[in-house]
Amino acid sequence: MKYQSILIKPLIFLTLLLGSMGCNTGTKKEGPKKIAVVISTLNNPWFVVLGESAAKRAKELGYEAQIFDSQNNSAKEAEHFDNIIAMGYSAILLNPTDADGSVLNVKRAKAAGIPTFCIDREINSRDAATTQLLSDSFTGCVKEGEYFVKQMHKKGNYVELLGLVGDNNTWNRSNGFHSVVDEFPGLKMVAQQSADFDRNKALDVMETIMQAHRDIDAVFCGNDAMALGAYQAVLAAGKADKIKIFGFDGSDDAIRSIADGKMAATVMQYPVLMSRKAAELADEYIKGRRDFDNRTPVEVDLVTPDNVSKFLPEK
Amino acid sequence: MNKTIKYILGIVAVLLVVYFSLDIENLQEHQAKTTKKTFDATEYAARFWEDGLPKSIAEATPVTTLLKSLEDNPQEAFKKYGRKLGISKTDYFMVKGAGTIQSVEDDYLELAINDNTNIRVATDFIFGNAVRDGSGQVDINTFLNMTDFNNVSVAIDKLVKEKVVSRLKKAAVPGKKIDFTGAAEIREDQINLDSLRVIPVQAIVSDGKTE
Repeated sequence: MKYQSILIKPLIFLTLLLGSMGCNTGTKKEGPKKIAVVISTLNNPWFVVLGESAAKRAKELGYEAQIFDSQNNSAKEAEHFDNIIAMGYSAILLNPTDADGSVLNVKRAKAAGIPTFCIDREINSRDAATTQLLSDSFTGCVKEGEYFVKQMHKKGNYVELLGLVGDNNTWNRSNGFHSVVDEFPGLKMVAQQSADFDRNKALDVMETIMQAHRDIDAVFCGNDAMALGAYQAVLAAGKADKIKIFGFDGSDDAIRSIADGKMAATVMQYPVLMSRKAAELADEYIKGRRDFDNRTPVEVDLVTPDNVSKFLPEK
Repeated sequence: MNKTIKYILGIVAVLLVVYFSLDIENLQEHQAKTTKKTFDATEYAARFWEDGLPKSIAEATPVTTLLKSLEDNPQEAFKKYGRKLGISKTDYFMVKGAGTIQSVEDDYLELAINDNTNIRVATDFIFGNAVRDGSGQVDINTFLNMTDFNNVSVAIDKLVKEKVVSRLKKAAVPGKKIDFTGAAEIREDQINLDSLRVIPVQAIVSDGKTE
């Protein structure tokens, strides 16, 4: 009996010791850190490129990366943030669904110690996100506006097709364009309507506008999808030679259209550059960097028939 | 009697607590107070013009120094004299100098700053961020969103047109001398020293005797 008790005590001690060591090794176990890529919608090729480029760069930098699709729904985005916070991600690369609606999600992540890097779309906050990488849409449209004025010889009637009215990009583009064009009284905007960045909606809207206004000289569109939709409407009306079409994005189709003389100009954005840079900044944050500007504008380029050859996609 | 006094004191105490816990005010006044103050870019630009811009004017690089540096070592010139925002190949420079008007064009004045060098002082198409970003006085981190930040450029450009360009256009005649300070925009991959364009924020036109 005495012999048994002598053995039992060290055994209990050893069991507890090993158990506690097991627990310790469990918490200290370090696999690759994880970066979440939360995208407003994967229903649009532009955002697919954005998400996949960010995830690819994060993986190249040694992280596990997972893409979450918010389906253009702030509630869905909030759910993703709940899961991301619970699952202990190290950083979030976010393409937000809503400039105001997404702020709370980013703040929750920040409170949980997870930095968020916004890509392409902006949230209305000075300090919720670590930084926001945004195409300098305003400046791009200032340059496009200047080109527009020169192409129109400072006079004529034009139509503006806006993107989603709740998206800051829509207004940055529109405001940039108008900051120039409105200074020239000979240029008259005869219609301004939203076509939600959608090619088919732009086709419908442009057809309707052309029924009411027969003397249109140009169309300024908030993205290339709408510009291509507007071009279809103009072509069907037999006015492709008369009406100049201006877009924004630098999509392959738009670049080819400029080279073929169908569109007058667009502005080239760099989604791959933005996404990769966001992943790199997240990596720098994880490694200790803290001095980030709250916004990082990314320069865009005006594409016209004069320089389109530099931008033509590889066949 | 004691009980009655206790009740009265109790009621008075409760009433006092309730009175000091409440703050009654007119609903409309309250709403007006709590409504988010919207950003006023015009007001911001006016303050910039009075307080921030003079510092930039004082620190502006002589345009001949910049041009020489761009010719000798462009990378060094961009690093030393330029200001860049975010990820970009475009730098903005605050420059000063003097020259003689060679010609008055639709959009600019052609100015000879020495025997070999001409620059262009813009008198139309005053747009974009050259003055805002070239000045180094407007910090992007203090803005709620890009719309506010960009509206500052629009408002500053408006001031340039009102306060500088309108008077400059009236006074500009070939042969007259201009002392100027302004902002220039140069892309790292498209350096063209033959047609440097400066948006003026200060310009004094003289015929050599009078301003």
